[in-house]
Amino acid sequence: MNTRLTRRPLRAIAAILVAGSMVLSATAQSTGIQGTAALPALGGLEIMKRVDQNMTISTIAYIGTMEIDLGKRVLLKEMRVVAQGEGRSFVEFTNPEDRGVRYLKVDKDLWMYFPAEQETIKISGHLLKEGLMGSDVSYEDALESGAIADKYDIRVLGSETLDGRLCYVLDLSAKVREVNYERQKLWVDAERFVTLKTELYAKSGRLLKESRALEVKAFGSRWFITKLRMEDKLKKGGGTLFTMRELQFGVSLPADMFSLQRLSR
Amino acid sequence: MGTLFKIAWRNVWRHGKRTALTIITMAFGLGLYIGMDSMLKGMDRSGLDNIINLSDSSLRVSTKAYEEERQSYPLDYGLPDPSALEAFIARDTLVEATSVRTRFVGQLSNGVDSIPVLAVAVEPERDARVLMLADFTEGSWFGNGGERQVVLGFRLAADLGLAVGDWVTLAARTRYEAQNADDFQVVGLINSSEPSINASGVFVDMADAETFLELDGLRTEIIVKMERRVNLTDAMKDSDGLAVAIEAAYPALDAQSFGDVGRQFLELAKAKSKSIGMIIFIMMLIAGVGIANTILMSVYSRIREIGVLRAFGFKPKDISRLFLIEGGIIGCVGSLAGVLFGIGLDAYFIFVGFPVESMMGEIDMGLPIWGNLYGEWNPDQMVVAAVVGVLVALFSSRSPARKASRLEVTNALRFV
Repeated sequence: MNTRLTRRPLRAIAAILVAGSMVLSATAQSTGIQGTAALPALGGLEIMKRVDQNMTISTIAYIGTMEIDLGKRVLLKEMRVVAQGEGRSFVEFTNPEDRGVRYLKVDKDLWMYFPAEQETIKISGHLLKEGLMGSDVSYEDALESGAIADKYDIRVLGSETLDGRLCYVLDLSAKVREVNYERQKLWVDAERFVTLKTELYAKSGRLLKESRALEVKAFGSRWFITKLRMEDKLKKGGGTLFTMRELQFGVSLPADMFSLQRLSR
Repeated sequence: MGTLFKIAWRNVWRHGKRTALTIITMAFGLGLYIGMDSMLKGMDRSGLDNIINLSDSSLRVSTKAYEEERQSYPLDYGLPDPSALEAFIARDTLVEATSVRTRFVGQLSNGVDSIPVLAVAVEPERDARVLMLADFTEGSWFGNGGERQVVLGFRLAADLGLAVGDWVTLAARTRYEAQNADDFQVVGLINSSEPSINASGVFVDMADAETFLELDGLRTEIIVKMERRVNLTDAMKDSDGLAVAIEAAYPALDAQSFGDVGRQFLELAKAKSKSIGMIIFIMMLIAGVGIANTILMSVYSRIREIGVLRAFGFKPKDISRLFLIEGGIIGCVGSLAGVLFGIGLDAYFIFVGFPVESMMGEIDMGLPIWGNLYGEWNPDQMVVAAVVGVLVALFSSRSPARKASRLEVTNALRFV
């Protein structure tokens, strides 16, 4: 089966900032994993394929906001984002503190432009570990790419109800060494095929990050997450809330939209 | 000349308070210069000691590709056959020990806060034969426990509220880019004379790193300890020679000698010494003005006396010499006092030291040392300071001396 599932859940979260894709919502009490008797019998690959279909975009534009809860204070960031496919995105911050700061992501490369210094730097090395604009999503999360089915064995663990939504619970375990997270656990809405909850695990089995979709909206036949919370489990409390508004799909973009020239213009 | 000197000597001390003030100003300036020079020398020596004993060793070998991306500590460029390379290095008779290290980027979390860190995987026993980190470790430089252990810089530990015995979570990417995180027990805290290690040092046992980072034997660098030389130039020359030999035998490798690193360090130190040059210039300017003022006051208060001397047959040149000698006496005494004061300061800094740690507290002044900063004797600079002191005195008294020599005898005698 040659299924190219390129929408990895975490990258989808990062994409709200640096790309333009999705994961899905729901806050609620889970009911514990049960069998999938109440659900259509779908294999893991098929479920992920449907999630992928739901999230795949040609181009997208939106206004995003980030509320970064640092415990003692909350940072508010606002940005305009345009993205093409999964690999290219352009972000410009519009909140007063960061006005004019821009990010350009092209495949696995990420650049940042600082208007005050009129300087462009490539984010690399240990800088990739830092949270994107202080959020709980690291730059390297934003750069993750590759076909999920090529890297993970996908297993359906059962079903579970999250916030009243019946979900498939998937377990993704790495089958190659070159993966960002050794194991991922996904809660996929059985009706809308969006990922409502994601848990990301280290090689040691420790939970590193968790994301919860808080709002899912329909855009034509497509279900899309418009609000999502991300938590770094190595830190206590806090978390980052991403919100998207004024979404437009299939927008036409200038040819040099994703160029370094435009980044520093 | 003998008569002129006697008159000048007597005149200098006729206005004792004025002369004393001038001499004190001069002595303070020169003494401070000598003391500061001693501290800078000591700082240079401590910085170089830190390089060789705590951070870089006599020689550090890695691949050229690794050096190009060194800032990001990549796990992509391991040394090819480190054992063979170590054997090659050990052939140099001046080499006393070698060890291997692997640096990596990680994130340290106490469960509440999480901060990015640059960590080093070491073979504890072998590493301690090359560098002296173990000697500065409170607690232990890795013990025999089965648990994963970490040694941290004490300031980093303080930032995260950690003490020996506490547990901390270290997260990092493996060699194959997978995220990993695990708990490590803090077994030691480093409080060394190298501030950067105190502020950000994270050391883990290579045996733990092997599984934690899936290293599969990857070692990013070899560190080398060479025979200690008293003379800095010899130590640099030894390491330069070995670096050249390694790079000739292994063209893909980059050997950073103590000579390379030390010279860069000293270049930076030179820039710092410019500031001390500015201080001495200002102090000497003040002293010079003081001397000129003292001599000028002396000229004005003794105009009739100058007239009498001229009437007795003193030539204008003799009058000029008289006042120059007075300036010279002040300069010599001031310089001598300055050197004595400087020696006193030096002795204090050398035997007691300057407590950077307690003086600076948490403030990072960017100094290359931590703990007690000790000075160093520098007799050359004392001689320079003394000579400059005398020259400044002579130069400052030149103008008043000339003025005195040009006075008309009749005008001088009638001067009220």
